[in-house]
Amino acid sequence: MITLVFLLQLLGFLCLMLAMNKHAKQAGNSRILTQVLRVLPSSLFTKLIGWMLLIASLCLAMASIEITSIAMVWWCCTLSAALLSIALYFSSLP
Amino acid sequence: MKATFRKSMIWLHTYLGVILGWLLFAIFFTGTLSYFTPEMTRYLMPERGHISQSQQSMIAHSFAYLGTHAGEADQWRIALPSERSAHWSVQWREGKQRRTVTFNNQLAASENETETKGGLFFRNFHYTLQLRGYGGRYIAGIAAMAMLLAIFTGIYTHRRFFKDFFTLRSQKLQKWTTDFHALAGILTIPFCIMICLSGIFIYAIMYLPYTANANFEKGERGVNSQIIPSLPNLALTEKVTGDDYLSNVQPPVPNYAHILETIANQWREANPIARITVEGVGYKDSRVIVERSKATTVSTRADRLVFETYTGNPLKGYDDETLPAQVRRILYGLHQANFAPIAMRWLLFGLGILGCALIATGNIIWVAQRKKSARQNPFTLALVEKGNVVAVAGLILASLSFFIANKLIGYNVAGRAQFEVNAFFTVWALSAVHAFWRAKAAVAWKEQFALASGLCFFTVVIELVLFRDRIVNSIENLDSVYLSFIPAFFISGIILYWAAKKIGLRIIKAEIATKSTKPSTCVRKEQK
Repeated sequence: MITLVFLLQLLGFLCLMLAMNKHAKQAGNSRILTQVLRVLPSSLFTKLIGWMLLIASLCLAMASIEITSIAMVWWCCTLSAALLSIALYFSSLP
Repeated sequence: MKATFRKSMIWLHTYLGVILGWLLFAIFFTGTLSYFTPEMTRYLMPERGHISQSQQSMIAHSFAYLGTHAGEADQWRIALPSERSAHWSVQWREGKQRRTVTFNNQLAASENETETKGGLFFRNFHYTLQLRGYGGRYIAGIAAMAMLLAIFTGIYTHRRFFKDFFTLRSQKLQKWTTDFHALAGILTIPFCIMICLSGIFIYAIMYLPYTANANFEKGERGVNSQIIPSLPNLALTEKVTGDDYLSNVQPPVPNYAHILETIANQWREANPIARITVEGVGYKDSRVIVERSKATTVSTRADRLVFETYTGNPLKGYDDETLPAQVRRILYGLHQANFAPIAMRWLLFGLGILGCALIATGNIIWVAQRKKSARQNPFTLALVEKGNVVAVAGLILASLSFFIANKLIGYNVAGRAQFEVNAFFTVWALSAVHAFWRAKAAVAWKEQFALASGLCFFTVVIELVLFRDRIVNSIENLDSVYLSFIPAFFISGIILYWAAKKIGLRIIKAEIATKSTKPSTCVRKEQK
């Protein structure tokens, strides 16, 4: 279940990243992201989806782990891991 | 005071980092290693092998052993092993004397364990700086407070990164370092705040003793014993004889079967018991205190149940702690992360390493910027630049030498635990001598990383050559805790070798660039 929480966070950050102006500009140099950006709706909508995915990941962590405090620690840890993964992925794009 | 508030914040952030960066790195690095304290202790003590016995059989064996060897003791204590520690021991107290015996998987008892500080060395160092009684905890506390301040000023200083923190510009090393510093800062904000805040709270009474001194009888030293709930004193009057409860058992043993049954109904997780204490052994009013493992709570205080020893009936347990005490325990628990399963522990370890990288890159950026602007006093610049080498590479070397000393010093050598500590500090001091002796800091970085890489591989070789039997045993018993140290050292060696190689290439590039510019300068001079 934690893997699912992590995947939701990854998707959430991916949406937030694509919704950021600066990154959208940088993505202009990346073939893959240019394709992705073309099919994406407006940046506000993408940003909204991003935040909703992050909230969904928090809810899932709370629901799947019995002890709330431990669920919160899990969520914070995977959040950092997801953020780092997205940053490294984005920085290494061709 | 600077012209604007932002400039003041930048100034504060910079100088907090430069002045306390080395200390913070040492605290963060050893603290990060401390996430694996029991595992490191287990790795450093060959007798701590995998224990596959069930909790029930261990408890039965422990009580049988204590009944035979410590029938006249006042108190018994059984510490059951966890997957992490593999430390199964019984302890008993007769008058003022305590004796401890440990067991292995074959139920063999031993009173002599390998003399080592184990993982506790790093744990104790990270908050006492090996200066317990000499203000070490105060220094660590001040460092934690400064770190908190550096975090908040850092958020203000790097506020733009909240808009573009996903970028790591890999084309230029200096830009990459600045980006990485900001990214690591953002990733570790919750972690660093939690660690610093909880670290301060653990010793809050020591840092702010005034309230305790004014309101409690024994002041700050006695406040814990006054606010932590305890059980009433035992009125030990009547001894239990064989006829009373367990007519055919001599000496009397606790009715643990009933106690375990009650516990199994209340605590449903696997291996729920961490420790059992029997107070007033042999007396009618004796009681058993059973402590739960910390896997189910963030707090450092796990549940405890109290029973009558010889009937197994439950007794009224401990009173609830006050809310502030509970908050402090939760913060303490968050800091230690004893509740964390292995995957979470690795994530926290990763965040700790990122925290170290954050501090180190901050200091490296300062040096690079000052070199560029040529504003700084050369002596100060050289001091910080070489101090960075000692703080980062030197500490890694010192930590590795601690492990190697443990593996190479004979088990019969008296005071071997102190030799390990001496090896740590000697290597750290030698690293300082080397860094300041080298004309260029980059060369010192390269050589110390290369040496650290070599030491990592050497540790693996020592393990494979001198501890082959232990490895075979561990493979047979699937002892993943011990076995994981070998690849961990190997991978660390590869990373350090890669770092040394990268720095080496940069030195070569810089030398080529200097050589290629020199002749042209001469030509220009001649033309003039």
